[in-house]
Amino acid sequence: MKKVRNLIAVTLLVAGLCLGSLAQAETKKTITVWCWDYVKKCIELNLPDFYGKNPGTAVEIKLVGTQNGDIYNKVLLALSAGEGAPDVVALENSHLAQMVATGGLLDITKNAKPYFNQFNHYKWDDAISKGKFYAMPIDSGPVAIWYRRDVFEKAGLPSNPEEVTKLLDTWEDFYKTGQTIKEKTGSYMFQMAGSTNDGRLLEILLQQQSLGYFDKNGKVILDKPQAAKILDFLGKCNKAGLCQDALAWTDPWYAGQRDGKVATIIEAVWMGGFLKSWIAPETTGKWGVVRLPRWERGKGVRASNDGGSCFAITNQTKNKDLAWKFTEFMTARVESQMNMFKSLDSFPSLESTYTDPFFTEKDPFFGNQAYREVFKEVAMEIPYWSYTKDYAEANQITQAEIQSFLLGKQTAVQALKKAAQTIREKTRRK
Amino acid sequence: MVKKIFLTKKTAPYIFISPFYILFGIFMLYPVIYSFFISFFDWNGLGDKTPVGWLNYLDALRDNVFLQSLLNAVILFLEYVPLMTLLALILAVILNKGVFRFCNFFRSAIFIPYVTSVVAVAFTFQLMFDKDYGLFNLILGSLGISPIPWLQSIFWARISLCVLVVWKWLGYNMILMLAGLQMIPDELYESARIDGAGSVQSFFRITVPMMRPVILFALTLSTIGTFGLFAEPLILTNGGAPVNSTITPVIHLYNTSFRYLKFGQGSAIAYIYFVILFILTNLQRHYFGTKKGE
Repeated sequence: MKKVRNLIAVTLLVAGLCLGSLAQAETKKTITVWCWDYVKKCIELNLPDFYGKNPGTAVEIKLVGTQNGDIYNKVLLALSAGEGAPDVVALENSHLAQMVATGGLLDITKNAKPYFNQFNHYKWDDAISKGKFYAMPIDSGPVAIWYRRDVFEKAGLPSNPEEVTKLLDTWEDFYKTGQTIKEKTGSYMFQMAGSTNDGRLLEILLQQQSLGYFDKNGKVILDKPQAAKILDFLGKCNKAGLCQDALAWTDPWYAGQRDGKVATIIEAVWMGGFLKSWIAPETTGKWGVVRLPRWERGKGVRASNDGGSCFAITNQTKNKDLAWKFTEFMTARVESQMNMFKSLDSFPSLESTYTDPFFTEKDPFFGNQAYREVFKEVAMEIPYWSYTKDYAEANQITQAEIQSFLLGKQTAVQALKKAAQTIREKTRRK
Repeated sequence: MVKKIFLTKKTAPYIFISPFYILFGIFMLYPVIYSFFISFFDWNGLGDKTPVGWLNYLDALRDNVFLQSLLNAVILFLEYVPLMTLLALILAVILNKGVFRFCNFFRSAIFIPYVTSVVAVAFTFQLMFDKDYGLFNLILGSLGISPIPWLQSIFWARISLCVLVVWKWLGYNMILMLAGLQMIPDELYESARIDGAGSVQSFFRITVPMMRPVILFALTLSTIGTFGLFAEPLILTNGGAPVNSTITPVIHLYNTSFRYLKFGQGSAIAYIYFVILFILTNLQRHYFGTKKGE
């Protein structure tokens, strides 16, 4: 009898606890958001304001990383299992088209379409499929040249942004400047991995000329002659010894930037925040920013992009309204975007923020240059780029061909021709 | 009362082994069969399945990267397996029971790499293999040898991967050999010594032939292991650089299914890979196995 009595007592206790937590959950409307660490910090900056405007709601943030596509695998698993997916998920732009193609994201056309003209246009390319909207842009990655003033000065070259812009007017000028710097200081001009190349630099330069893996109709255009010219240029720099052979995000890469072993970094706006906070905080005052060189004097766009992310709502959400309110609050609200920009260097895709005086502030880390202005100009001119659902495979295929080219085993034309042909076969495109 | 109905003398064995078979059925058998089913479709994991017949298999056999990965596995196998197996056997003989005083310490020291986290180890080796700042080139530099592009050249990238794999698996193979050595009767060695055989002779005439089943076992495991290398090349060489020189079939499979979301293709690759391994292991058994009546 004692056994049975104890059993009943425990069961009642457990049941009571369960009911208690259930009741608690029902009083607050909750949504779950999956994102990586950086986005979590961005969201948390704005949560107090969000709760202020939406009392009685709760946002649960679950951290899922982007290494090895962790977050995309997990979302895919949850979607195919029919349950467990978050209401809102953060996605890198490179993976957006792939997720849209799975059919697991909610159609938010009615809510998102009115915002079309307020964001960088290029951000919408992969978010829209067959006329329907599936995501809201958060941040962009406008690309420019970060240069070391002290290395330029050591080579007897001017180091203020106005003159450096003229110095690096075309990519040919960039090459010649690189040779001068190599001669006078021994420093490399920029960093590019040879046999371990990941294709990202080529992608940035392709986008600058509205080239890429695919065109607006999904046709493979990687083997266009102009693309081979770009790859040839990179090969030329490599042969002349202007590139530090370091793979991005490895220790030698950081060391090159810290120690002034490289004169420039061709990267997106978020690089500034990283340099300041953890890569090379001791190099304050030594950096400046100028826009990308062009291919022909007087012609062409000095803009490209690398990275950027967005929020999407999954089909499994049970709180469509709250999920949209959250997404809209974080992305389309000027104050939210400026908070993220000011504290975390998350460059807003929302163009209505571009009138904020913060953009014109001079930053001592960059020699008192209002460097954000440069990126603002770039962001508004970023050319079209379509990742499509086959980006991961196209990038992987092209990497091997670029590596083979930089090792001297084939010409640029051959490399891109092979890559394009393989991509066509594997993705069953023209 | 309930017990008596289900658990009779006849049914008891089946009930006791059923947990394993139920789990096996759900988590191993079902996916294997379903995977074969998917290999005839195009499927991104979530949407509709488009039937494509044998196209995925044809594509896989024409796929440069897949063929390269098979070639890489063969090259890697030839580069480290014979050496590692021989070294494991020699070490096992040297460190066998009480041959010299500190053999227990050395046995543990050689075995410990096997229990380390492969991810942590691969990252560490990647740092050590670095061309400009890595430990190995620093040591070579102090000896006056010019730096080796460990992870930057096709040839050296494979060598570096072999170094990592041997470091990790030598101990495991040595333990296998040690276990096998215990089964060889001492009298054989004694009679050989009496007949005037040296240690090298007894090694090749007694140890190796008696160890054939164990060597075969180690070789089979190494074959499957080499083709199935995943974490080591993924981290050490970022999944195959340079120019897909260290990509393995399993990495390509993983990329196809989970990064490109082409599960049908991935399943076709998996089945072709299975057939190849099946043939290889049977060939090994045929050539190295003990035939009945020997």
